[in-house]
Amino acid sequence: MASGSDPARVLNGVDGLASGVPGVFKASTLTERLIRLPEEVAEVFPELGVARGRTISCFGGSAVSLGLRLLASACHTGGWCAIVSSTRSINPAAAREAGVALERTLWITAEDLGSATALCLDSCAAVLVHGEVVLRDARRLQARANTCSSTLILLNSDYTQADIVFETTNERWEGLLSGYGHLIHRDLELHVRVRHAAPMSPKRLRLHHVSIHS
Amino acid sequence: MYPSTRRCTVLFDTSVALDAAQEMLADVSNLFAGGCLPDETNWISFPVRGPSRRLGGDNKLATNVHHRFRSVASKVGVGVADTAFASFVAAYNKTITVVPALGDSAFLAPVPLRVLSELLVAPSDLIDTLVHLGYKTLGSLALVDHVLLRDRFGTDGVRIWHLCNGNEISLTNFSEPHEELIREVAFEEPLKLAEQIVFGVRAVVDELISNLSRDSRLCTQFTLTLETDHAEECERVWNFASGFTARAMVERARWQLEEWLHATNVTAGVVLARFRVHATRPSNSEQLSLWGDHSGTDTDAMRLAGKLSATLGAEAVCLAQWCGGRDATAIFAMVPALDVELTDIEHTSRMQKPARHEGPWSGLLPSPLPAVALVCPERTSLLDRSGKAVGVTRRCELTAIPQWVLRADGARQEILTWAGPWPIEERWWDSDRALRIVQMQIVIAGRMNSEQPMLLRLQNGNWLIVASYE
Repeated sequence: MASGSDPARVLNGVDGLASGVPGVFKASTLTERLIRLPEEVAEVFPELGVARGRTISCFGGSAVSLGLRLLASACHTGGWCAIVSSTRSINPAAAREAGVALERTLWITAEDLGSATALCLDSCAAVLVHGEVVLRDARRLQARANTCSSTLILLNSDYTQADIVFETTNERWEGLLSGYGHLIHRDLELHVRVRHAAPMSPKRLRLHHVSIHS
Repeated sequence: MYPSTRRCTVLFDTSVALDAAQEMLADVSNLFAGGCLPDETNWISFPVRGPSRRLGGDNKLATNVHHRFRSVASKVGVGVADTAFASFVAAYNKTITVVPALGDSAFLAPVPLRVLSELLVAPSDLIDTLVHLGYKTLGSLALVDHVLLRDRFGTDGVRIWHLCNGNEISLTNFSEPHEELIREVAFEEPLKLAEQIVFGVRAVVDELISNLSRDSRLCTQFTLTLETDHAEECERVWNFASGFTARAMVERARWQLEEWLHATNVTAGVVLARFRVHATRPSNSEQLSLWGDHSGTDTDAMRLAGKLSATLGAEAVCLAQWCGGRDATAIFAMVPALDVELTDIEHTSRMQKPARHEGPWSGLLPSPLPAVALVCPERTSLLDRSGKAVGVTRRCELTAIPQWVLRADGARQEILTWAGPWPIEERWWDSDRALRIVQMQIVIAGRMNSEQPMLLRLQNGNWLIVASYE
């Protein structure tokens, strides 16, 4: 059973839901309420569960790659997702590598990120926002995401009151050999902070990439 | 017998100022008929049945129209014929040509086949092939069995065959549809909220679409007219080549209402909504999904794209489409979501995949690709240990080992490791589109004790940071 400070318990308000106790909950309840985390993250944080309708904030040098992976995971069951930004700078090919289903992804460019994101939350399973969202808007969006059961992912937006905050540090890239080779993959340290829960110790993990041709 | 599809087409000189052309369009549509099709700025086409009767025949109508346009444009062609295409051809020689009723095929027979590509109604390579095969005129092609054309050239072939035979296809007949295709909803109380009105019309639209589907037809075009208690009116034509479902039709009604009620100062509630179906097509070519309808989320996405496009502009709401190439940041292009049928996931999936015959792009960076492509590439310099600028020789080799990168803000950052340079040379035979660049990956020290890789490009002698791996 989950411990008192277990983030999954706090997030879901239900003991055992994410702790994997067999026979306690129906599989359908699990799939309906929880989003699947990216494999690399789930491996090192097996006790972590994120329910639908939560707001996730990503910081650090690999925030975009991690955010795209979270977006892919949140929509793996077939929902639509939206990527909202003020300048169209996220590379769709990188999104594809992260596993985002581009056939069900809307790319939205808007100066007012808040109102565009609010509309997207009504219709999409997950929305990723790349750019600065003012604090007041972020709070409203968080409430809206909760109401609509859509996952909201904020990248580098300085919003620390999100339900769950991922921060990447100590990135180490492999593949470059002073003139030879090419970038292959990165190792990084992932810090996870869950709102109203005790901090978790950071874990090291490796982000893999799937070629767009595969 | 006077065919109801008979149309008049006017072609006029493109040098006419746009404002004048718009005025002329307004004039003509007011003077002669409703449903005028202002598709382009240099031609219009409208049904002649009513105006012709009013003015005393097609000849008088054509002369009248010609006279009106001559006052503004230098070259004007007016053509009247049974079908839109024949009237277009008739107007093409910049004079007045009135084709007698039921005389379309005789009129079209001696016309050279090349006119199809000149009028942009058929692909020029297809017309070239047909001319090489010996079909020099429309008449000669009209005698060919259309099954053969369909087998050889697909739907384009059949389309051309119908045009050559003077059959009306695809262009809209704006005459009043049969009463079975008109539905009116009169509200007892004037309604001001879009949601209420949409709720009120839903049942009628359902009934209209189910009536059509009973005859194996799909609605591809309809006009929705809304009227308020103060006789304010909003009319709009909606097209959808795949055919409207009842839900899609209600959705269009919602868009029109929201746009109208927000954009204009409507002074009273809506009392009447009128649907008129102008065009239908057989439904037997439509493959529905397994359970017979689109999934809710797809429809939601379509609604979202419509809403956002209305507020932000069509270009701001896009879907990614595969276009390939060696540029790691431009493998996918963006197409406006409104141009894509979002409920057809098979189609949107096909958009993301390379064509079957497309091989791998040699020279494309291997995975992982950069996550962020800078909208404005940052100009930078590479320096060696002694502070000298690093360039590339004609054989695409670095002149020295890069040690520092000089950023646009003047900061000098140490390069931890690097790889490259990788040359890309494209279209060297075409001086306008030729591309000769060199790419490099470098890693510098980032924040929080992390490594920050970047993609550099040397173009026209300048190093640019074009993307980063965040």
